[in-house]
Amino acid sequence: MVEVSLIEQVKTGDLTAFEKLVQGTQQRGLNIAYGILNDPLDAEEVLQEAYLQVYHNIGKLKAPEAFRSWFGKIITHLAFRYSRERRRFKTVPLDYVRQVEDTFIDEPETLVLKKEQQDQMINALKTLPDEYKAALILREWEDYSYQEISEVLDIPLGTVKSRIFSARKILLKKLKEGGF
Amino acid sequence: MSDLGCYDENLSGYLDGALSSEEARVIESHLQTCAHCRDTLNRMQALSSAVRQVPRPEASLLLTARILSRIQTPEIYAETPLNKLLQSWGLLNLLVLGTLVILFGPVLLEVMRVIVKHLVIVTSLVVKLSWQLPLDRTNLTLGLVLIVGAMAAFYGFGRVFSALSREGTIS
Ligand SMILES: [Zn+2]
Repeated sequence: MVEVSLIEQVKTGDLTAFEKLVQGTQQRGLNIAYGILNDPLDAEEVLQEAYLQVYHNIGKLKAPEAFRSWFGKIITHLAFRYSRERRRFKTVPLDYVRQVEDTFIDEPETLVLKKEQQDQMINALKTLPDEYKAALILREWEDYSYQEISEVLDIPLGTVKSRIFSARKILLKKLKEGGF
Repeated sequence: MSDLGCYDENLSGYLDGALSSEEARVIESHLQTCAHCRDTLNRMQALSSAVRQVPRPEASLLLTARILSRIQTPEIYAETPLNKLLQSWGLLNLLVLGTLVILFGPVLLEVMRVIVKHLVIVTSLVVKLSWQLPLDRTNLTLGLVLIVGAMAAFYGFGRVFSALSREGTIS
């Protein structure tokens, strides 16, 4: 949890305080960006951009307690945009998705190695729509409450509930043959 | 039986502790009688812990430094038309200098050697000569253009160089 006093210091333009804020929050921020983009380098790129926005716009953050949601919002917005732009330039999706689906649906293996299972999970996560991924990752990796997720993604509580549920349903379906 | 009481979406919410106490109570009593929902809840639970186990990349040690340097040097690197012009000017000068060195390298080197060797004589000669030049508008303008041109070339090339090193082309 980020201390309110630290946020107040950053608001005055204190670079040392900002450095402390970055160090205290960068791993969490990176997790969120990576959860959406599934690429470590892209995630760091987005995170750098996010911190620039944090630094220049923190004056607009009225309630310092809301930093967690506000920060999550900046990262998810930038990651969504980055993901859209990336898709426009890289044209892999269709074949790739089919290939991933094949590995999950036509594999009768029951004994799967742990590493292999993790890889399957990562590949399954990649196939989720960005908005579902974001909701699920905020919940599972960063323990955001449904209320916080609804603030971050600007969607009603009911939509948060159904997005997380849909993400889980899709994953379960894809991983069914993998032993889940 | 998987009948009217089964509502998967609420099972997912129940897993996250996101239901009202009333909704949670309904689910709990339903779970006692419905094997189908118990199974679904178990699978969702297993999935949830598997997702939590997915490895994540560690923030690189240089990340904080990179962010701070981007905050401290924003406008200097902005691609304004003036900056682009200065960069081109810097590169053009470098190109001309490079060509001269390649074509007349030995001669230039010899001239430099002579100048350095007789530095005192050369300096006094230059000073004497410059006093004899009339301080009229043409000469002043010429001097100003030369000085500003050289400074702009230096600055422009400096920008090109730092932009390249920021891109990681030069380390
Ligand atoms: Zn049921």
